[in-house]
Amino acid sequence: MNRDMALGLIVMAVAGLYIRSALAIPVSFLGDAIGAGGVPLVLGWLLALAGAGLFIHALVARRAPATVAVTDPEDEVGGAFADPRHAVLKAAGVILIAAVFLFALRPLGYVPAVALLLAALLAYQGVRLRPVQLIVAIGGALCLWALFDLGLGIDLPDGTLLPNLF
Amino acid sequence: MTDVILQSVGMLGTTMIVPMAILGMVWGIFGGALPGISPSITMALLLPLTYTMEPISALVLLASTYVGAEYGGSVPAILIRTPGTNAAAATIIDGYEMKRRGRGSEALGISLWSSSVGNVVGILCLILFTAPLSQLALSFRPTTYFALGVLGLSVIATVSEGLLIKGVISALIGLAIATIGTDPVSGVARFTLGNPDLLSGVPIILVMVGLFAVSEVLDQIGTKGAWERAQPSGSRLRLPDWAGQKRITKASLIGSAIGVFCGIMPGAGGTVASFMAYNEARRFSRHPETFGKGSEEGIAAPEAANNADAGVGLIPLLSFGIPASNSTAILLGGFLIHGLIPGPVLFDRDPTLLYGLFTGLIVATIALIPAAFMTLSVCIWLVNRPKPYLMAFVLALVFTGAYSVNFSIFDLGLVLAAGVLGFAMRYFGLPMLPTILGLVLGYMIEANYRRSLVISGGDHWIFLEDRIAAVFLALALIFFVGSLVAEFRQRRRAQAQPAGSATEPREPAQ
Repeated sequence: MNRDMALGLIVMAVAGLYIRSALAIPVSFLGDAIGAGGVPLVLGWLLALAGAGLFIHALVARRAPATVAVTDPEDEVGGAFADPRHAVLKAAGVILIAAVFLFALRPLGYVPAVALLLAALLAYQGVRLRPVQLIVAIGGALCLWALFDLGLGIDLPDGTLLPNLF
Repeated sequence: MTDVILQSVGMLGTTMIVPMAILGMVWGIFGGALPGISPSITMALLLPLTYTMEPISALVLLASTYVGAEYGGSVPAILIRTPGTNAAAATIIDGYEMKRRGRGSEALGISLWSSSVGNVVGILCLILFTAPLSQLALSFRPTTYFALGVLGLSVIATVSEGLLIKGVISALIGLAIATIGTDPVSGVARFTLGNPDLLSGVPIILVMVGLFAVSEVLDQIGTKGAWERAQPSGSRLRLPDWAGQKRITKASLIGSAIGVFCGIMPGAGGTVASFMAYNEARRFSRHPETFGKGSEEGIAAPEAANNADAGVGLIPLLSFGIPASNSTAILLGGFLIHGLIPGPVLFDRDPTLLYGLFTGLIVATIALIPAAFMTLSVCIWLVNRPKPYLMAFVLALVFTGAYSVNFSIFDLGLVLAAGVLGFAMRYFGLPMLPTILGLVLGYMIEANYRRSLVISGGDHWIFLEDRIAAVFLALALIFFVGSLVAEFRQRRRAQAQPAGSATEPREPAQ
């Protein structure tokens, strides 16, 4: 199974879930003839149709080698996917770091949370965390805080766990 | 009229128009260039500062910021493949490609030049045609807006690279995301999973930032080997020479014309204008095969379009008091702060104020090029930092900018989710631009489709009875079918060639 076939199947599955949710949208007495679920239902069926179309297209293209070069997804994706496993694992690590940052932002406060985010991302990309890099992370967080909080007047989270420094 | 214009020119010396126009332009470029900071946020941050200003100074400051931010959005689009504004998304296609090929300075110069052309055209139209063009925009009905949305979406048939069906899937994803939130007609909550944060829908700017910026960070970090470095040639801003200007004149004018066309219609906006301009510039180009591969015209057309759109987009606000976009809604706030209600009455009672605003915008347009030279060096300095640092700071900046929209951690989760979606789309070779277009146009299409059917009692013929709508729908059909035929022909040609040689991208629809 190539990427286009997999995509076709995923799109059909997502369309199925979307249609099921659209069918569950309540009918309002204030509604019109189409109803709140009408357009989502049409979109869901179109998505399912497009997914099926892509799957069939990929299936036919696989059997006709002369057309493979036109439809090969390797021509259309970014350079990171030359080694898909490495790319996905690397991305998963960044997503995990970002998710931890989101949970830590309110309790830690903006400056400590961003400093940790910067340091973690630098370390994750292979930069050795020496004092200079730690200063860059803390200084960078302070600069962003100064730009947005002091400069632009955006009230960034102060933090609830650490002493209120900012 | 002459007295009013002379009075407005006289205000240059007696008011703060000139410094406010320059300040607004610089602030706008800087805000537009920061990923996650949209023109409306950039303007909104200034709004509290205008309380104590003279009305004319406040309005010029806000309007110049709006125009500056439209240009500023192209800077990160070209340098780091992240649109600073929605309207700059189309600039990524060829702008980033030129930068990738070591022509970043030229790409920035073309963007600046064509933005200036778009600004001049937009502001001229604003001054000359405010009243008559607003009449045309007023005559548009829900059927027309629906058809305009469908036409905008049909652009995906020619804009997106790769298989047409992938462009369609991508657009449907955008349309599906646009259905999240409160139903525009009945007020029923849809796909919110009981979360009140989703009742007002998914903010487009957050999805854009996630799709483009976060997925770019994920993609870059996932790339093995040495980090890509910005070339020294990209460290300067180089305006196009005479020959270069001639090469992009047609594309700039096409973009400006489309920007004017979209600007007068609320809901169309700079994003639709820039995608349509890109499409039309490719259609009328002598070298359409270069689009998507670093075409100069592919930068000039969308940049001219979104800047012309910004100027002309003020027409509905100034003529009828109807804001056509988030940014013009903020400008409306600037009027209201000073007890002014824009519209025909204000035009009649205090024309000096409005002509003073036009004068300020002319000053801002003149200030654009020097302001761009002043601010771009900062942006380029940022891009020339080592990639691990740049990626880390881009992600921190994106999260901070996204947080500033609603001060919500939930919004940051949306950005991250959009980033994951964008990363998956890259993996499967799905183009992202149709998703954005579907998201931008989704509400307009659905709301106006259903309003039209309420008016007609469920009769779909209403869309063909509106002549303008019928023309828009016919054009949409022609674009779509034309693209299908072009793809079919290319496949037939590919089948007749050896497998290894059939790698050229799909031809645009003719």
